[in-house]
Amino acid sequence: MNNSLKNVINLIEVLLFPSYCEICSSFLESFEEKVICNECWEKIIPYRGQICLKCGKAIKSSFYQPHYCQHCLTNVPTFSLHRSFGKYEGVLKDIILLFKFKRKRVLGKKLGYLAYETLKANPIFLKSEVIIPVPLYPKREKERGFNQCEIIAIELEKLTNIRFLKNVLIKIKDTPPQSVLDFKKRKNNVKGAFYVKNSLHIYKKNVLLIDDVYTSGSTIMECSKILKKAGAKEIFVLTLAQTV
Amino acid sequence: MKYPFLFLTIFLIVGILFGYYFVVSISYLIFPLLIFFLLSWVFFGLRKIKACFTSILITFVLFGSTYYEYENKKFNSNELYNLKISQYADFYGTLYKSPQKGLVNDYLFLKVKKINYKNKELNVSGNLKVSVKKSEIIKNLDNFSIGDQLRISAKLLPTSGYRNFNQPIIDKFLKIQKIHHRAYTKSPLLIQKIKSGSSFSPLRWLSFIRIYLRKKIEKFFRSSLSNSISQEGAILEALLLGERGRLTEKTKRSLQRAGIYHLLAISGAHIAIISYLLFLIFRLIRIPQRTSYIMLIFILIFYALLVESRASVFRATIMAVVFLIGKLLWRDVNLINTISFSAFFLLLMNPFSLFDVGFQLTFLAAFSIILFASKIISFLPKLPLRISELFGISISAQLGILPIIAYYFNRVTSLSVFLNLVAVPLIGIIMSLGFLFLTISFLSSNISFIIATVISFLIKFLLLICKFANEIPNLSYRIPQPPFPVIFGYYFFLLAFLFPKKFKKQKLIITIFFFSLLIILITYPFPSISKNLKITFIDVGQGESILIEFPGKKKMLVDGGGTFDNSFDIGEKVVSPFLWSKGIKRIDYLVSTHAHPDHINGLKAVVKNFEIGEIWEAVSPSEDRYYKEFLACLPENIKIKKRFRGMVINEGKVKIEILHPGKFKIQPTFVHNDQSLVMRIRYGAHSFLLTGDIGFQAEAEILKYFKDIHSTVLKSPHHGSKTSSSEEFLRKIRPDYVVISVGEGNRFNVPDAEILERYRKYNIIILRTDRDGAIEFSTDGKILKIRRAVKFDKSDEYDNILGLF
Repeated sequence: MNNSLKNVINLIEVLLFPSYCEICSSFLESFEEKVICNECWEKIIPYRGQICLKCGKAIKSSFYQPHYCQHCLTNVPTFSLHRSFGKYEGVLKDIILLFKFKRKRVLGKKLGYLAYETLKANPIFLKSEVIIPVPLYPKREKERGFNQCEIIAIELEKLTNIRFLKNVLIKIKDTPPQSVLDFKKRKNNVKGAFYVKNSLHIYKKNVLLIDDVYTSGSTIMECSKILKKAGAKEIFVLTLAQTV
Repeated sequence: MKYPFLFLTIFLIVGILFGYYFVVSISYLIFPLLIFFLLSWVFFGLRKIKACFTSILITFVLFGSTYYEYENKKFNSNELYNLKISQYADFYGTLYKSPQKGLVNDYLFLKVKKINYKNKELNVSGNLKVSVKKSEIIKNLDNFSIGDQLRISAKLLPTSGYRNFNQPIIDKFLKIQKIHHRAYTKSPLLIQKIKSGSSFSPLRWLSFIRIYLRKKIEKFFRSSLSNSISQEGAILEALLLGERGRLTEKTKRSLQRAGIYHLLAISGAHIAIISYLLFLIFRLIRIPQRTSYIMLIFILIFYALLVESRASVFRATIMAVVFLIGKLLWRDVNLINTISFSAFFLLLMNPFSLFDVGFQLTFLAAFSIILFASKIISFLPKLPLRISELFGISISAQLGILPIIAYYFNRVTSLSVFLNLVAVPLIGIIMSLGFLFLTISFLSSNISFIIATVISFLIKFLLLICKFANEIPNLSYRIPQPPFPVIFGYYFFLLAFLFPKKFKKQKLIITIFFFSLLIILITYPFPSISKNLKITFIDVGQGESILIEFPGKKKMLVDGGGTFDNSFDIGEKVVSPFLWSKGIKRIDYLVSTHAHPDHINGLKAVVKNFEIGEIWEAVSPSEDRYYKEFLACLPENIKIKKRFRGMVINEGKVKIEILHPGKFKIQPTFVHNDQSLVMRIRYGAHSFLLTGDIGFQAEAEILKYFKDIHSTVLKSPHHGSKTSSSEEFLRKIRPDYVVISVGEGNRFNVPDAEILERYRKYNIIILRTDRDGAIEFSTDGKILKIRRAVKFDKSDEYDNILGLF
C-alpha cells in the first residue's frame, strides 16, 4: 500500500515536473533523484592511488612504503591528518560547483554521505569529539543562503553522533575567494580572517574540521592554527575533494 | 518529453469538445474508456512506453467526453434548472459566496435546499443567483456572509435571455458558473436570516475579512456626488478584491476601448505583481529564499480564497503555486507544463470552464508569452527601464488573444500594446499602495486617508490616459466576428513560426500567409451579400428591432430595442452582436420609428459600433430626453432624412413606401405613439408592413389615404396592445402572418388576449419573439421562407401550421 502510494506520488511528480540531470541531461525517472541522476553519482569514486600520509595529496613515487609528501616534510602542517573523498575533477567537481554556486542545497545530503565514507575508511577520524565547518563571511552566507561546509557537517553529525558546533569558528574578514588567487597570495589572503568565539567548547578536544575543496591548504592551515591556539587538542581535516 | 501535461490537456480538451458537439450517451463511452485505461496499464507493465502513452491519450479523450456528458446531464436534469414558476416563492438555503455589490442590484448566491411555493413545499436543490434591488435605507445585506441560512422571497427569471440566430443564450454563462437559475427580488426586506453559519468555518472568517475590507474601501472612496462608492473605489475594489460589480458602463467602456480592461480581472499579471512585491519585502527582511517560497504559497492560497476564487484568480494561483512547489522539490520547472497542468486541473474541476472566455484568454495569453515573447524582445531595440521586455510581452500576449477578442468582443485594439507600457507599472503601484492602504486602515484612519487620496489620484490619472488614448482614431474599433477558418489559419501560421530551423525556405511563405490572415482578421474584408430580401425581427425582449437585408449589399435597421432605465444595453449586447454575426459593418438606412426608449435606446450603441449611411425619421422631438441622448451619440455630419406619407424609395427591386405620418406643419417637440413612422416594404408578391407603435387613430388615417395595402406580413402595431390592430385595419391588410415583438412576462401585459383572439379570428398565423425568439422572413419575391431561433416540439401548434409552407 505504502509502496503503491509512493508510486502514484512519483508519477505525479514526474508528470508535473519532468526533470533532467544537470550533468548528463538524462531523464530523472524517480522522484528521489534530485538535480543529478543516480548514474552520475555512481561515477564518483574515491581516489585509490598512493597518497601523502599527512595531507592526503596524491604522490607519484617509487617507494612502496607510505610516506609524507615533499611539502609536508618541509613545512609540517598544524593539523594531524587530512583526507579527501576524491580528486577535484570530473563529476565530483561538477557536483561541488552546482552545490556551491548554483545553490543546489539538496545535493548536500549525498555529499555528506561521501564524506562519511571517507571518515569510515580512516578510523582515526573517529577520535574527534566535535565537528567544525570552515565558516563563510556572514554577508557571503546570506548571499548563498547557506554555508556548504555546514551542510556537510550537519550530515556527518547525523551519521556519526560527533557533535557539530555552530558559530565557534567564525570568519571576520571578507576576503576574496581563494579560487581567484594564485598559490602564493592565498596564504596572505586568509591570514587573520578567522576567529574562535567560544574557545571553551573546543578546549582540549579533538576537532574534525570540514571543508569542501583542499587546494593549497592555506585556509585549512590558517583555521587549524587558530583552533590550536584556542586550545584544541588534535585537528583532523575532512574535505570532499582535493586538487591533484 | 518536457511537457507531458500539454498533451494530456490537449487531448482532454478534444474529448470535451467531442462531448459538446456530438452528444453521445455515457453508456457508449464508458466501455471503451475502461478498455483503453486497462490497455495503458498493460503497456505500462510491458514497458512499451510509446504504446502506453498513446493509449493514455485516447483514454483522456474518452474521459473528457464522458465527463462532459456526465456533468452536462447532471446540470440539465437539475430540478432548480427545470423549475418553471412565475410568481414569488420562498427559497430556503445557504449562502455559498459572500454577497456581491452592484450598481442597480446586489447579488446573493444561494445553495437552495427547499422552496415554498403557494404553501406547498418543494424539495429542490441547486445554485441560485438572486438579484436584490438596491435600497438606500435597508442595508441588511451587509450582515450576511458565507454559510448563513436564508429565506429569500424571489421571482425566478427566465433562464434564456435573448434568443437570436447564432447567438449564445444567456444560460450558457450561468452554466459555466454552475448556477442553475436566476431570481429577482424587489427589496432586501424580503430576505431573512434563519440561522447564522457555523463560526468555525474558515471560509466564513475569510468572508468576514472580505466584507470588512470592502467596507474600508467604501468608507475612504466616496463619490462626491452621491452617497455611493466612487469609480476610483470601484476600480480599487476590482483590483484588490476581484469584484467588478460597481464599475459603471462608462468606465468599463473606456477601459475596454483602451484594451486594458483585462488588467482589472485579477489574473496572471496581478499574481505576478503580488509575488514580486512580496519577494522584494522578504528579501529586505532577510528571509531565506526557500522559506519565502513556502510563505508565498500560503499567502497566494489565502488571497485566492479571500477573493473567493474567481476563476481568473484560481487560474493564476494554480500556475504560481505549482511553479513554487516545483522549485521547492528541486525539480526543473517547465512553464508550458505548469500552465498546461493548471488548465488540466481547472477542466477537471469544471469542464464547462473550457467555454469561458476568460479561461481561453488567460491560457492563450500565457502560452503566447512563453512561446513568442523572448523572440519578439530580441527583435526590438534595447531600451532602458525594461521597456522592450514589457513591450515584447505585451505584443506576444496580443498576438495570442487577438482572434478571441475579435470573436467574442468584436473589437480590434492596438492601443493596449502601448497603454500596457504605462498601465501595467501604474497598476502595480496602485495595487501595492492598495494593499498598504488595507493594512494601515486597521491602524490609523488618518494615514490611510492620505494613502487613499494618492490612490484616487493615480486611478484618475489612469482613467485620464485611457480617455486621451480613446480620442486617437482608428486604434480601437469594432468588427464582425471573423470566420472560423480565418481564426484557425491564423493560429496555425502563428505556431508555424516555431517550426525547427530546417524549414528555413518555408519561412517566407509562412510569414506572408500569417500577415495576410492577420490583416483579414483585423479588417474583415468580406462583404455581407444577400440573395433574397431578408427581414429579421430581432429578439430584444420588450421592445422592437427589425433588420432588413435587401437583395445585394444594402442593409436597413428599424429601431434598436432598449430598456426603459438603461440598466441593460440592448444595443451593445444584443443588437450589435447579432449584426456582427451576420458580417455587417455598415447600416445604410437607420430608421427610428419614434423616440421611445424601447425603440431608440438600443440605437445609441448601434450608431457608435457601425458605419451609418443615413438616418430616417418622421419626428425630431427636440425636447424628448431619449431623443437628446440619441442625438448626442451621433457622429458629426451624418445625414438625417425626414420621411413622410407618400414617399416611395426604391432599393433595387424592393419598394419602400412610407404610409405614415403626414408632413407636419410644425415639428412636434415630443413624440407620441400615433406619430410612429410606418413603412411598407414590397418585393414581388410579398409585402411587409412595419407599423411602429401606432394605435386606432393612425390606423384609420392610413386606411383613409391608402386603398390597396394588403401585406403578407404585418408587424403587430404597438406590441399587440389593446388600442391597436382594429378589425377594419386587419380586414384591409389581410396578412397571412403577424409578428409580435414582446418580452416574456412584460409588465404591460402585451400582447392582449383580445387582440390575439382577433388575429386568430382572421386566420392569421401568430409569431411572437417571446416564444419564437428571432423570426426571419426570406423571400425572392415569390416564395416566402420562415425561420425561427427557437425550435418547438413536433406537437406544437405553430409548427404544424408552418409545416405547410
